[in-house]
Amino acid sequence: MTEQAPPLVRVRGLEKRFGDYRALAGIDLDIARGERLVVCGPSGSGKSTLAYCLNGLEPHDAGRILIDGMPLDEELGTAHELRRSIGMVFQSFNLFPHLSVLENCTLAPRLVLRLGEQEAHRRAMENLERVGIADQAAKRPDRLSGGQQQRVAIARALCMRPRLMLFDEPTSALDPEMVKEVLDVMIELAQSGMTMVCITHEMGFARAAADRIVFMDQGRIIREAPPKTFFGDQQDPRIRRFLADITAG
Amino acid sequence: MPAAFPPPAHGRPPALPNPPDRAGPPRVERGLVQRNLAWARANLFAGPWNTLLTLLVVALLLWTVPALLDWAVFDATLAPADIGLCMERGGACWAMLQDTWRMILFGPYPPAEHWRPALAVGLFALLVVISLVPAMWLTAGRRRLLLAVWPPTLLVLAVLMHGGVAGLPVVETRLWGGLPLTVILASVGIAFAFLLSLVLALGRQSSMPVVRIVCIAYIELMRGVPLITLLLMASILLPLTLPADVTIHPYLRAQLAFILFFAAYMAEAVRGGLQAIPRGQYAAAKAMGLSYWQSMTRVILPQVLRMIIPSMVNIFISAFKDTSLVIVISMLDLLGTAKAATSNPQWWGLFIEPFAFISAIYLVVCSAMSWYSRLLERRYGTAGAHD
Repeated sequence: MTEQAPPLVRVRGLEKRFGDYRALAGIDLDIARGERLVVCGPSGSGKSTLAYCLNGLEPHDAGRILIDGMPLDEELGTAHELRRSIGMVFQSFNLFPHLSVLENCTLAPRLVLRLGEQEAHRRAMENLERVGIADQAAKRPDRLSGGQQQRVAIARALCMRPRLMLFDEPTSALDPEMVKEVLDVMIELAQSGMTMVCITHEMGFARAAADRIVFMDQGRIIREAPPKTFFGDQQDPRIRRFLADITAG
Repeated sequence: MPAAFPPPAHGRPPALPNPPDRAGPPRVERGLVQRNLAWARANLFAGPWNTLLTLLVVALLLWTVPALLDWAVFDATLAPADIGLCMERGGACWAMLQDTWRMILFGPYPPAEHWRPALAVGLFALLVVISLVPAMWLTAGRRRLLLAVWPPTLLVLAVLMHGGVAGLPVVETRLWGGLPLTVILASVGIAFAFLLSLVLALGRQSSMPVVRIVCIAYIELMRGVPLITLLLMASILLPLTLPADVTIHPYLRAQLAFILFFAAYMAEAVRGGLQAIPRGQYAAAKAMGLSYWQSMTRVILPQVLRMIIPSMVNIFISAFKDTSLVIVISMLDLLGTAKAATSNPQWWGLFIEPFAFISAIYLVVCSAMSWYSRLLERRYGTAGAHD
């Protein structure tokens, strides 16, 4: 991470409305190449909406998103193009239940990147190996535990060789005993230099792997700080309450 | 006759004096008789209501089956016979079917050429059966083989039916009838209606208002109109509205009516399946860069189709049977030829036999469809139901 390099993601004045509700009320954010960003905040603060906007799954109403200098815009037709290089891991895994684990991983590389069967297969096995689940490749997702499914979802996203990985509360649908296996994979990924935006309440992960923590409330960024500073001094009552809530819950 | 009539034999066990004693101690003897008695006690005489129901069913069978057997077997008349002999004996006049079955199966198709529609229907059935074996879809090679075999086979079928090639005399389409016509109307109708229904269902949930409104209006219109009306309109009204020099073949008009009608019903079944797919599936497909059509054909529809097998086959079965409605526009499908057989002066006055004959054909085909649907459900039914 060098300070001089242009940011991989540049967000300026981003707004998103659902009817009268302002989910995002003006977000400015730069994410450097290789940076690990943790986004947290109370529910309804707009953090998931931010993730959905960052890869264009939700079109934004105002402001700009630049990925590597290219504007992400549904109308310009760039959103579809850029999405291929942005991996997304969902809270509810969203694996394709009618396909095997392996086929889940080869589908998009074959259809979107036009890889040959062998190359797609090789890449899938490589990434399944990486998340420690290669031995389950032939199974259907519903035969796997939640933790295993989420690891498959990470491998599936990695098969597209993304330059940015978005995690939308990847562990909040998991039973507590499965959270660690997913976080371990995410930490390994963070150490490998992948640019990551993780929406999560796992403050342990934030401490261990994040370069910066972004705290959101009511569609705005309230505070950005490296983990040490963020956890060290807490003047803001909203952040204090949030941290107390998640440690209590 | 009693030997050929097992249900009363099963009806006797309640008369046995000692079932209560035998229910308590563990059964040591496991002979054939004991096992059957145990089965009967568990399934037929489990309680007072169960016993009453069993006895009622047995009574009903005793009342109807002998009469039916008398009619169909013991008093029936086989060839050689004429209607006089049949009337005299009072039972089924199978001699009539022995005389007219070819006419019922193939209608006005020239009798000397009957082997052609017979071969065509047989080939078609064979290919359908082969294509429905799940193992044929397992590898890409087999799928390609199937897809490669279908078009030339359809061409061969058309040549067989129509002739004009390789020394086969031409048989005009107006002479086609009976089973081949029913099979063509049903299979072409189901196949095209199915494809159209996918488009309609996707259109119905489109984000483009015009597309959505057109699809909704179409589906509601078609579902709100009886099929008979549609057939009559296609055969009478449509030619009136077209310029005089444009004619559409009567078969095509009927076929079109079927496709348009059943596509609306199938579209609603598909829509139900589409609504059951979690939003996350769309999001995941989109997030990975799949285009709309890629996500539909590779992610969404495969799950939808697994889910709607029962309702879809239900519509297929009713479509197959409803092809018989073309009788109202004077087309000689299987029902039409059976009806024609009843007006044969030689066998004047006989109705049940030809209708029993075609009922058996419909029953076999429809049972096969529903059996296959259960097979598919067992195989795929559980996948895609949750995420």
